[in-house]
Amino acid sequence: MTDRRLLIGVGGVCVVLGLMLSVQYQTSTAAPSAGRAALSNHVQQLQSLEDEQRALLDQLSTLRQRLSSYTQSGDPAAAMESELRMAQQQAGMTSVQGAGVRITLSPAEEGATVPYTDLLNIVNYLLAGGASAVDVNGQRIVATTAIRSAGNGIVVNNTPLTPPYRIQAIGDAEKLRAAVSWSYAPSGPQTYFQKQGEHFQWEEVSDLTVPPFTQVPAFQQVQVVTSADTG
Amino acid sequence: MPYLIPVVGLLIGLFVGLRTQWTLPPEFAQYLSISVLAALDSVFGGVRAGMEYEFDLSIFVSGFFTNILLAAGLTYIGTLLGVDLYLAAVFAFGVRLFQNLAIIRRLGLEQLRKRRAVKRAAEQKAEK
Repeated sequence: MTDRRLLIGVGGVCVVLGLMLSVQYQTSTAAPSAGRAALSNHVQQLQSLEDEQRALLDQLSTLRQRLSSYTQSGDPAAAMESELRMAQQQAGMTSVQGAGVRITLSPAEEGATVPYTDLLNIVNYLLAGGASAVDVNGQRIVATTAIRSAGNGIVVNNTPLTPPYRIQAIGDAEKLRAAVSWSYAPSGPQTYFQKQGEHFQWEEVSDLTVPPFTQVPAFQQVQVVTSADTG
Repeated sequence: MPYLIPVVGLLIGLFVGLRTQWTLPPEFAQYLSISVLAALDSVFGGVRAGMEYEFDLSIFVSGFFTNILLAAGLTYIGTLLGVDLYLAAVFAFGVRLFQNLAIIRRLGLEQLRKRRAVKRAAEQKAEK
């Protein structure tokens, strides 16, 4: 009787212990592989995150450099001032110097007029040829410039001009010549250089001075769009 | 014959466990390892009690299962509380395991010496 109880009790306990030991052994030998897989996964994630971090750090350092270039050169006001000067220069609000060409348009004969389309064409060609600054008889060509005929004369920047019309353009003379050599006639090759003589004079100048736009630009009915999607 | 019971039981358990290839999900591996430690502690405690002629089947069986359940439960509570309570179980059972093993070794040595002494006494008697 005692033997039987002992058999069941101790035997049962030992069976359970054996089961637990074997399951534990199998679990602990199986677990590392699963753990290792998870580990390699994490390592990959870590590497990609580190790459991302490095890229962001590069970006940060370039942005910092730009910021310091703004702030370190004296003070922010000076940087803003230089930027303003750049903007003014690009807007044609300053007098500029450089090599370029000078074109003089004069009436073909006494009492005749220069067609305003000639002036408009030539200015257009010069700008297309990469001219940095253009003026006609001291009237700087800017974004809002209009060239139109008024009576016998030509009006530029709402200022009436009298012939001869002297066009100055700062830029690469060769490119400007090529641009002005384009045909202006819709029905065949005809260039202003074919009219060379009294009517059209071409001069390449190494040191030109183009005056600034002297009028106050009237920006009425205009609002600046500040949303980011305007780029 | 009674000495064979634990060995046979252990072999049966190991055989069944290895044959079925049971594994536990990693979340439960911790509980099983603590339970194994508790079970080993109980079994060695039983062996020691047997060598001291104080073995009680009820105490042994109830101790075996309650130790397992308590160890696993303590670990579970520890994970709930964020306290590594299983370390306490590992420590307690580990210390007891080593104590029991030391006592078992000592008792075994004593028994061996006694047997030798008895043998020698018998030989001396025989010589006389």
